[in-house]
Amino acid sequence: MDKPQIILHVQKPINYTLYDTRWIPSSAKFVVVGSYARGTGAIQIYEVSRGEIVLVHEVEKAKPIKCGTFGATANVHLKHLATGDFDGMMRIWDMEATEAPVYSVNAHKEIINCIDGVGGLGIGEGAPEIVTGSRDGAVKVWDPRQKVDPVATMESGDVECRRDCWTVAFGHAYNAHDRCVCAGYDNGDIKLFDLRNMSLRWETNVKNGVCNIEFDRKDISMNKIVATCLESKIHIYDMRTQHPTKGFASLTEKAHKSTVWLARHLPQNRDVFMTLGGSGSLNLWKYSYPPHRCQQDSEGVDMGKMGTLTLHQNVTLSTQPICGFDWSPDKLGLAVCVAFDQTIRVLIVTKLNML
Amino acid sequence: MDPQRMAELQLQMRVNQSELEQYVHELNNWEDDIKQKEVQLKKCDRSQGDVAKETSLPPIRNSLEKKKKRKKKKQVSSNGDTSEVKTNEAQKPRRIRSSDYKSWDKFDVEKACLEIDDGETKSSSSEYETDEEWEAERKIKQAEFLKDQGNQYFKDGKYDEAIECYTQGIECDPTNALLPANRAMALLKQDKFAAAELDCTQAIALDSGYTKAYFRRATARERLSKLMEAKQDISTILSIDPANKQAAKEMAKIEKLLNPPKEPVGIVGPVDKSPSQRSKKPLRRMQIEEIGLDKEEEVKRLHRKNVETVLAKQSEVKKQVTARDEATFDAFVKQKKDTPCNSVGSGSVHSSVTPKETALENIDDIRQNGSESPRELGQEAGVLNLKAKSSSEHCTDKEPSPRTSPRLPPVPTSSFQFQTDWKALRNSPEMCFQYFKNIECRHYPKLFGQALDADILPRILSILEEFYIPNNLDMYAVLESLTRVKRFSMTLMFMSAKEKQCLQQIFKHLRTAGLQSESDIASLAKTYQV
Repeated sequence: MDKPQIILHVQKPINYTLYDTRWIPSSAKFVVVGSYARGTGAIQIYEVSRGEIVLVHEVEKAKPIKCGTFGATANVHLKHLATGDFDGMMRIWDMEATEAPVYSVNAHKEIINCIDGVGGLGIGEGAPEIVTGSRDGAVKVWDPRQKVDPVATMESGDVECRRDCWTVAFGHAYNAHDRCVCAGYDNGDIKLFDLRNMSLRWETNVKNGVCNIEFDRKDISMNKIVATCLESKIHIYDMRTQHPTKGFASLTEKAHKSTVWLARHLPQNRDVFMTLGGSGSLNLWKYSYPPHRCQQDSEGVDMGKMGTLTLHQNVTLSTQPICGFDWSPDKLGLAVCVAFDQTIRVLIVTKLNML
Repeated sequence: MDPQRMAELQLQMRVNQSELEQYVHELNNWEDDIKQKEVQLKKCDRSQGDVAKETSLPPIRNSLEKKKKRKKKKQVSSNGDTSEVKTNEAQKPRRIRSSDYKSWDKFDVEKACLEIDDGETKSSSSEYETDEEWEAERKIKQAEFLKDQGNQYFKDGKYDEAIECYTQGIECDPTNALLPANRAMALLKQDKFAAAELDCTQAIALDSGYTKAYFRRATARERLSKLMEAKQDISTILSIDPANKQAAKEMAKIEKLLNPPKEPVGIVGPVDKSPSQRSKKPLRRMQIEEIGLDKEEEVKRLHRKNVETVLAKQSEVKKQVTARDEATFDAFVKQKKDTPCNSVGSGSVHSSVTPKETALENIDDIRQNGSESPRELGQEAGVLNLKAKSSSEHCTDKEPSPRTSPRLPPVPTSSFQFQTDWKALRNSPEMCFQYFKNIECRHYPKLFGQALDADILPRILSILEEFYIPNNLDMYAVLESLTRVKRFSMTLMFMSAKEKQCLQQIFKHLRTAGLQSESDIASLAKTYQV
């Protein structure tokens, strides 16, 4: 009876390929980015209004845009979308004036697969920063106050074994100094970089390419991450306790019977997240902590202990992979997703507050 | 299908429907609210908020250094082997290909070096919550470093520099008790006793169980003539560490200064005369009166019961000893006659007197030297006296007690042996001299080891002054070897003015003798702080 319902509220077919979507903070609008058939980039702003979505603004750019984030928007007055495109350019657009970027940098040699921001909108302490991951194997951190050069670069010294970076995520930004970046690669590597110490803090390999990594919260001392992989694997790591040799405790779940493209945590509840499958399915999960998150191994060293993961709802909305999903930060249960079937969908998830 | 289940399903669908309707209604309201809010936000001056935010932002990451690729990692091969982790500093140079001129242009050697230097500190800093904590830790480390530097300066005798280092260290880490204590030591060296006392007080405030600080304060206070306070400090040390010999010695010294011992009546002090000035008359037998025997009387009462048994035992032992000692004793006496002797009081000189008188002489002897521990010596004297009085029949075939036996101990081979012999020879400087002379200089560090304390060094110096100078023996080697003994400089610090005078005397002689070059002597004198 109390199971949350995932209901398709609005859906709208589009005539171009969609890659990512984000809610514009403090509004009923969201932005979608993608690629027109002629190989140009698209940015469109829609507004949810009385059961339908209305196109507010659209602009065409030279190169297809792969990903975007509002995470580094300095404050709520500004609506700055940071995007990564197929040409390796990272640009920041003012949603009020999209003709020219407010910031533009030739970030990578190849396509920017993923982007994440922190420090803006009151989420995460410290300076607004943007991290990008690219097919060229590099993960770069950008500060919009600094032109041309990244403030940090994490890449392999050996050109031969550079892997395609599929996902990056900020986290651990609970004070002005600490900040971590977690990156996932096509060979199944997950690497956690500590930006404060400029060091590789932890790494592991999950055997399947890592499509998406997300911290449950960016602005707290890192709590847990969810990593979704090819071959229907979901890995959850408890990031509170790091064992000197065993690293972080983890839990693996199989779902979707296909690639798990994305995982997105509910902004209003960090233990609830949605995973998006390659078969167009959406799974709603809730993670439950064990009574004690920390236990001691035989030598008395602290190590993490995993809880349990429960599937609460499961629907299939599309025939094609859902590649973009975003929970509304302002309205509990409101979400938008984009899929390769060239459709924008606005979803309603009820009873989330009862989980 | 089960009708009940059917009904449940229908109910759930209805509930879900109503919930959705409710949600959509809420959503519409929310849309209105958020749109209003958005309009309001737009009205606000956008740049205003912008400026306010910018000012409070932390600096751009890594902006203190030239922007460069900060860190690279080695990617793991595709087979999932995670054993090969990221490259470390050693692999840095080959990251940039030789043909990659652009990268080389940007390559900042200084920064790369800095990164290598920073490597250790960075890796350990992750546990600090804030920069403040990190800074605090850095300061503590800095203070440690300054302390070590100060200690080095101190060893080299550069006290001003050492004090400067300790002062900086105290500024960095005001909680470290070692720094003020070490500064106090340096100040003591410079005779700045009041400042040293203050520093010691500070060190004690930081660490109430720090005996060295108490000791240094006691020294400072003693020099400032604050004897009562000094005594208090010493008693604190003794309460913390009752086995502290240095403190016990210092305690005795302060006690002595506090209550100067009254000149004992009826005891003639040793007469110091050069051989030429001495009377040529033969030794005259003296009638010795016994005065102030109250202590002996007391002891007598106590020991009355034991006396007979003790004496019986002694006579047994001594009979055995006597025969063996006879030869060495004679040889020794002959030798003694050859060498000029300043010590009138030594019992061994009077080899011709009867045993009874020897014993009595010994009493006086002990009294003269015995101001340090009158009780103990009084007891011994009492025993000896009793022996002399009550058992004269035994005395006829008895040699003096082994303690005063002129037998010279063999050259010591261990520190323990040396200390035992040294203690045994305490009351006969002449013997001490003979004994000490036989020890090879190079064995000093081994023999004295940790034990070159305030007892040994002054005695060695007095032997040098009393015997080496008149005999024109080479003192340079002895003095030079002594400096190599552990804790030498420490012992030197706690020498009294009298002992320093003695040192000066020795060096004066060294210079007049002219066996060594002036520069050698000067450098040695510097080591001895003369």
